[in-house]
Amino acid sequence: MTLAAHEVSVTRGSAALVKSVSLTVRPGEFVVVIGPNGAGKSTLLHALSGATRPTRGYCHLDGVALADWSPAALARRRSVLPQAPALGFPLTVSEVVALGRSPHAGHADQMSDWRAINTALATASIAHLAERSYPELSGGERQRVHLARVLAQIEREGRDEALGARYMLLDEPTNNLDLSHQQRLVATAAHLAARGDGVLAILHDPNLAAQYADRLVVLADGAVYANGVPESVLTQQIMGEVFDLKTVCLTHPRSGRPYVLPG
Amino acid sequence: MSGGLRRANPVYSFVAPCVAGGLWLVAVLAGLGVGAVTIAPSEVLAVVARIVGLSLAPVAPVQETVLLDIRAPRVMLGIAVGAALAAAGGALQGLFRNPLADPGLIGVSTGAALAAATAIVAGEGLIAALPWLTRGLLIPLAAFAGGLAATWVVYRIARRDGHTDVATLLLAGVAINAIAGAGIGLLIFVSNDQELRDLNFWTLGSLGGATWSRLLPALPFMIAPALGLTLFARRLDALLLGEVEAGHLGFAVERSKRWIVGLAALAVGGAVALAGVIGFIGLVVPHLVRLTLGARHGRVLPYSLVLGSALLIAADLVARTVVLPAELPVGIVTSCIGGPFFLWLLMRRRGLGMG
Repeated sequence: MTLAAHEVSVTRGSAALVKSVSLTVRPGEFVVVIGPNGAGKSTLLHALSGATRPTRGYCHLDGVALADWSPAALARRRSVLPQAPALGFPLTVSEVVALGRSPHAGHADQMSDWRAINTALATASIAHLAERSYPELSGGERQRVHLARVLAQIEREGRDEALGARYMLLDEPTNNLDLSHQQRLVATAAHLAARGDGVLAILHDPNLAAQYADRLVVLADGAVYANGVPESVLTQQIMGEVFDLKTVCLTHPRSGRPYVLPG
Repeated sequence: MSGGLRRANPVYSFVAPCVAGGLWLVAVLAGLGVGAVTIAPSEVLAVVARIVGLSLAPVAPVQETVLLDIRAPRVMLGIAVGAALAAAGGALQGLFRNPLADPGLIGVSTGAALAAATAIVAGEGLIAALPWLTRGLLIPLAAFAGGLAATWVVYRIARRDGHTDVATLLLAGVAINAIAGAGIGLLIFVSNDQELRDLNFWTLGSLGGATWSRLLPALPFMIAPALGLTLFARRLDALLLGEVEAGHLGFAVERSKRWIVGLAALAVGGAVALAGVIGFIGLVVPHLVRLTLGARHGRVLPYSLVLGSALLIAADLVARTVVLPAELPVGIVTSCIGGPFFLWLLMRRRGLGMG
């Protein structure tokens, strides 16, 4: 019962963006993918979401290939937070969050949609913005609205409540966020995993990743370079080889998590 | 908990439907009543009552004839065309994720007009060859095909990596309008007198000449797709987030897009076939609805249907009364309203730093 990529390759034109990557996200696990620009992180995430069909290999949820899921049934099980969602029309915050319940039409009554939306608004701490118009919000607030939207999408409400773990994919969700909002967003994702769902996020900041992730995957040049607990991945050797960066690897005095210091 | 989701808002559940319905009723009664022969709302009611078998106060035969044979088909055409243009405009704006997409501005209407004009000038041979094809059927079909082709071309040109570029969209519209304009000019050049009069009518847009026999076969071409578009409200809402995001939400995006483009082209094609190119209804009406009631298509599309009808009937009333005894093409009136509105929108967007 996992969301997984099985020997997935994605080729566009003559460029191999992802090369035979196998990766599994288990229920209750928070996996963070790090890697240099152009390593194929977003392409891999698009393949895991079902939006991109792999050139070779396949992705599957609960052992069923994504291509064999109906789009709506898949959407009830996994949600995707994009990098920088654009929305120029004056929808209110609660209307944007309610879009997350679209795949549940016919599978959840109004009250359970209602509870899901309210829970998501509260979890993303934007309940006070519910009636505000989306285009008037700041960048950080907008990102939290979309977080609430993808949380509402996989909230355990409605008839499919018992249907196995949910999965959330986050594509560099902390872009444009200040330090405190970055922490809160990643903490929310980690919390989702702690309650039994599977979460995979692409992050640029290895320290933020190591602080919350159960497992780090380093992607370099389209292939998995390292895959393991943060302590085994954030090493001077791997940082040097993958990011071409001289670093000192330390342990955070309070959390006990590893962190890297360039220089 | 402060904030959070609130339940039914009386503005949406009561005030807005009453205001929209009231405006629509006023426009329809004025459209039926005002003109060389004045017909009071009570007389309209009396005629309607007589048709359904009740007898109220008697109505003079002149007024009844004017009402039933001249005003009623004209108002009915206004209802259908206004609804079709406004619904198509609202849906295309959602699909393009751009509030400036108007069927006239982006070339859909002129594409349809070029095809309709071609059918007027060259259609006789086709009608002679295919006996089942009547003129009343050929022109709407041609206008639909032209509108569909123009929409598709604009869509392909303006879309890049799953989103549409506003400048490219409008420039593609300018180019299509220029090409179609040249084509219509050429057809005017080779046409005879009767065809010339028909062609003039297309390019400026008019509700004049509406008769029941021309109107009835074409009504479904406008009303059905306009109503059909409202079924896509939820999908259009999701598309506002982007095509990939709509896919993540479980919608079959490619199929929805094809339906929306097809229904919008059908609605605009039907409208152009009967009334020519009437600009800006599809821009102004959905925009005003969005400003007052928000961007949800479940509201934008139904209210655009109603208010598009009302606005076009009102514009037509101005067109046929302002220079008595002559009559302006209604396209001129809507452009007089819509042109400045469009400029205001552009300046407002620049002011917000969104231009």
